[in-house]
Amino acid sequence: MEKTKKQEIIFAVIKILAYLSVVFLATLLGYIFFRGFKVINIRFLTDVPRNGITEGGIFPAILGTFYLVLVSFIFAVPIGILAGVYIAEYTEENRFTQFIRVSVNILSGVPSIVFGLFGLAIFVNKMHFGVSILSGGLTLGILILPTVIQATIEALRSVPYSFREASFGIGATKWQTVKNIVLPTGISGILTGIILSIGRAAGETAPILFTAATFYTGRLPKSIFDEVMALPYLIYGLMTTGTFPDKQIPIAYGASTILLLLVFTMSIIAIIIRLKSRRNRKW
Amino acid sequence: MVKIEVKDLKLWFGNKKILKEISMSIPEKSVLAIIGPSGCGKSTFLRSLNRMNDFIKGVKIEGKVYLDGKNIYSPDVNVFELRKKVGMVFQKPNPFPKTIYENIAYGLKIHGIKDKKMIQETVEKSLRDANLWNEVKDKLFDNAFSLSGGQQQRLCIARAIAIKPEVILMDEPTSALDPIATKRFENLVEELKKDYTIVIVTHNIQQAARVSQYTAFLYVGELIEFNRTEKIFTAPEDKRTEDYITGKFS
Repeated sequence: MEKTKKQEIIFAVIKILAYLSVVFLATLLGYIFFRGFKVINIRFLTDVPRNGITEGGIFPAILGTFYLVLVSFIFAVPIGILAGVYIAEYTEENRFTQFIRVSVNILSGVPSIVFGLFGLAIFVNKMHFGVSILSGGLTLGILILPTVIQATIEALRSVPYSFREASFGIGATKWQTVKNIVLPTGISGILTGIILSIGRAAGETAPILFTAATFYTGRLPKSIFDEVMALPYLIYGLMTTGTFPDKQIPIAYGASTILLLLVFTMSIIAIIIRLKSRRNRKW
Repeated sequence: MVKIEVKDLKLWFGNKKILKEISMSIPEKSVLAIIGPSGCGKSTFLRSLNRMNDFIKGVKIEGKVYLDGKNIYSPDVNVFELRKKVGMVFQKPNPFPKTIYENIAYGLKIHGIKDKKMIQETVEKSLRDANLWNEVKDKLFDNAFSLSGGQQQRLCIARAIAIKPEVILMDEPTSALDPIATKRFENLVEELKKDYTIVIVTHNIQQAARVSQYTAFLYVGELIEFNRTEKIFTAPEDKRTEDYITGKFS
């Protein structure tokens, strides 16, 4: 009797705590969406900012974020997948590979503002890319690189050894096996990791602070060497340096809503891919 | 005709000697069964015939294995060509997570065959030769994992014979199958020996007696006896062979 009583109490506490996280999420979303949807309409999504960002839309920021994510994607995905393939398939467990994996882990724990500083020093100044889409995209790329590498390693490790053995058994080389059997089998895990990291790249402010973003520009970027507006930085700017808070804060909430929707869409796509592949998985 | 000649084969995993001075001649187009208690080195021996042990860390191999008179461990041997000639079927059916068709076409593609028509014909012929065609001809593009265990194992045979090997190694191929699927598999082995040299590792002594013409008895890494199957099962020369096949130990 005593025991079951105790158990019930503990269960109740755990249950409340679990629900609490859902409450936090719901409150956050409710609050942002409630304030954000008031300002969102077609014009808000397609127009450029007007009158010192008190009117008009946020299209340049949406486009800027898209470009930044695209560059980071082009940079980080091939390198990340290849590095992951190398670590998972071509190395044995030894001091050196452990060192690589620890490095990857540490890299993923580096505060994002430090990546921003690094990007400023290397891409903006040393390599003379200036404050630009290229600098910001590369900085974001380095930020998400560890996630892509880890996702690849995890996905490839989950492919049963018997598939590789079957492939070697009919005379396939290592590369043929990796390319035709291992990668296609693990691809959904890799994709999931990539999509989640895209969501992360879209939402980061610090890495683009000094490397790519500008609070306001009237014109759309013409090349990857132009600076751009970006959603997270726009929100930051409106809340800190805005001079007409009553008009600009609603715009910030609108931009937040768009950013959240973007990140959410990414997460949902990732979840769908994962569910689908789990359902199709029969081994 | 001798197909494979094993000469003084020794194999270590680290410091542990797994195979001790094994020598035998495996005749062409026949079935050799390798029997012996668990952990006696049967699978390791089998895998040294197509160099699948190469992947294992800390493995050391000495001695020679001649395939048609050519030592497969000599440095100029192309191990991928070797495995094309010496195919393998594993203990657990391990089709690729692809369609039935792709499972077989893959082997042809990696060996450079691009002609679509030829691939199609080979897929059909291999499935026929593996006694699987009638069961799968209407669902060639279904995932291989939708097949039963016995069908999957026959698909693995089809995959192996599609690239026209000369030898097929089978590592306890029926241990995951039910008795009916096992029977079908054994019938298939019976037919395949007309065209291929087959080496089959089995735990099942009756299976060895049923399917093989030659039997090798391995015990703690040593080849105790190698002879025609009827000789081994009626008049074994070594006491240990007799004890093993009469079930005194396993």
